[in-house]
Amino acid sequence: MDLHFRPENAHAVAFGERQILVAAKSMALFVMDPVAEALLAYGQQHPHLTSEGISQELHGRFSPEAIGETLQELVRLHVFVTEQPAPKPIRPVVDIEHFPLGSLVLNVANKCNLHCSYCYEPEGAKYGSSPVQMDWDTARQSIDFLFQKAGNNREVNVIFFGGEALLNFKLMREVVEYAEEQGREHDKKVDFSLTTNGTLLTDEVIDFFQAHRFGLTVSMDGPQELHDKRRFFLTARGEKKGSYEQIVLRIKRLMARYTARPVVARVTVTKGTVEVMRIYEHLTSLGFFEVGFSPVTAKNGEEYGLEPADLRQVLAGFKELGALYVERALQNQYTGFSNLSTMLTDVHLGTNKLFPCGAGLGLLDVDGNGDVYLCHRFPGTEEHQYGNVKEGLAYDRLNEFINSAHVENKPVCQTCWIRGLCGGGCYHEAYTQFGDGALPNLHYCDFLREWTEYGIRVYMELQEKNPGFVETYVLRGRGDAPKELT
Amino acid sequence: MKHLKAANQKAEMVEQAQAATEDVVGMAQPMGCTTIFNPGWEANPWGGVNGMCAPMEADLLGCANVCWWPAQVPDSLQNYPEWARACTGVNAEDWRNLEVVFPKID
Repeated sequence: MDLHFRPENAHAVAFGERQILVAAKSMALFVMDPVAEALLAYGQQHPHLTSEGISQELHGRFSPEAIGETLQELVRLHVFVTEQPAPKPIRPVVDIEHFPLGSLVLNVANKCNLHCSYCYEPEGAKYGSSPVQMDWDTARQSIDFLFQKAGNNREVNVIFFGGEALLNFKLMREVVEYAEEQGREHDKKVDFSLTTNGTLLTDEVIDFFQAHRFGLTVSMDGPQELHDKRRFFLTARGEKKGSYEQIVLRIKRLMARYTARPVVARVTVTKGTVEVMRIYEHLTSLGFFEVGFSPVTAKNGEEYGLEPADLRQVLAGFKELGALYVERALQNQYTGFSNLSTMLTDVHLGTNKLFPCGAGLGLLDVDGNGDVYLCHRFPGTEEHQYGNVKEGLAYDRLNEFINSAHVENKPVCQTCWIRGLCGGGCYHEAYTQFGDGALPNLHYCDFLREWTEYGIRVYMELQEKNPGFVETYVLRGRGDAPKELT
Repeated sequence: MKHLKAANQKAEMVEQAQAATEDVVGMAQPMGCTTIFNPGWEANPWGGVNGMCAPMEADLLGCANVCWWPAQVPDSLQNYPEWARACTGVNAEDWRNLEVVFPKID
């Protein structure tokens, strides 16, 4: 029988004495026995083969029955196929109009009191023509829009974003009251969250978050020396003044008063601030439960952008922190390293996505004009504005974009074994780098593949040495959050 | 699977899905002039056959019984009386033993 090896559907990860097969078509993981390992190795060398050829090659090492059985198992996972598939037609696959909306980001303030050098909303051009503050009518219509589009979702998320959202705290209060009322009317749970720079946290604000169980993310870059490098105020004289001192005082208040949910720090990793372990230790010492690291989005040539050597350093830092994560996990202790927890969740579930994220599908963003954008990173980018909450969504254009961003429409991704985990990467990152949001984030491919391999090894080690840890401590945010985390 | 050991939740789901493939089931007894196979139950949304223009009975039992429809099994009364001899028993679990027959050419 003629067989073809499909390299894009199989990747082997060494784990101790054994090899783990990543069946990339489904993102199922299997521990291979020696027969499977030998067949995979043979396929990697001989893309076109016959079952008779393999049997001859492996004759004496394994029984013909064992070879036949293993081949069948690998065929079922599309690692070997009996016929070369015909080229796939490029086709629209998702109908956005009928896709339920789960999360709406509200840019309640189009202004920020900080002037971080890497902000993706350049000063002056901030959110195009949007007014400085969202008004009540727009906010109310946005909430109505969310409920109209929510379909059968039993829970909806309202995410406050800016500029700095707390510059319009008054509107946030009104929105929360109205959304809760609408939630009761539509019999849907409403969840609120906020990303803030932390400079405007007061007891009044904190108590309000406590009362409404806000999910809180604070943007902080680490110890003062690193944080103040790129997160600063501009004084009246135009001088840069680091924001760390202001924020730390308020974080201490927040940690003392706010107990409803764990608070997350979001770190933007930039050139010169790549000390992952040091940043993690510092932020957790301030009381943050979790720390998530995002490499900065930068156009080529920006002084803060990460070069390949910096990314390697970030990855080394991730692994150093990962080692601590494993060490503590073996004693049933959770380490708040978001990037690794997310990876372990994906590896455990076998996440297999068609799109990199929910932007444009289950998540949309509304700016101060009521204009709808793909996500919170796009306000002011006309190309990715899709209608308005008052006049409705521009479905044709949104459908066209989302389907062009479908992972099967990204030719480079078709040969990659992590395509189902990555989906091609962030639209905004691609837009900034290449001017086209639907292109894959090619500059992160090596980083992500290595990080995924690492995540698989950590997962296997935890499953072997402390089975149940991932299910009990790590899986969350998918409706099955363990109690100790909420 | 035997040579690949499931290592994450997705792999367990893949295994379950593959194990769940249903086998073809031979029907209990010869009906009319033929021995019948169940081609897959066709039923209305309530699990019955009322009101269907071509329910399973009409398609197979009914048609084959009176020999006015070319059933997909050999005529075991006239031309191929022996074809089902290796397949005994009411549950016909050994249906794979049924012979393949070809039209007789005189």
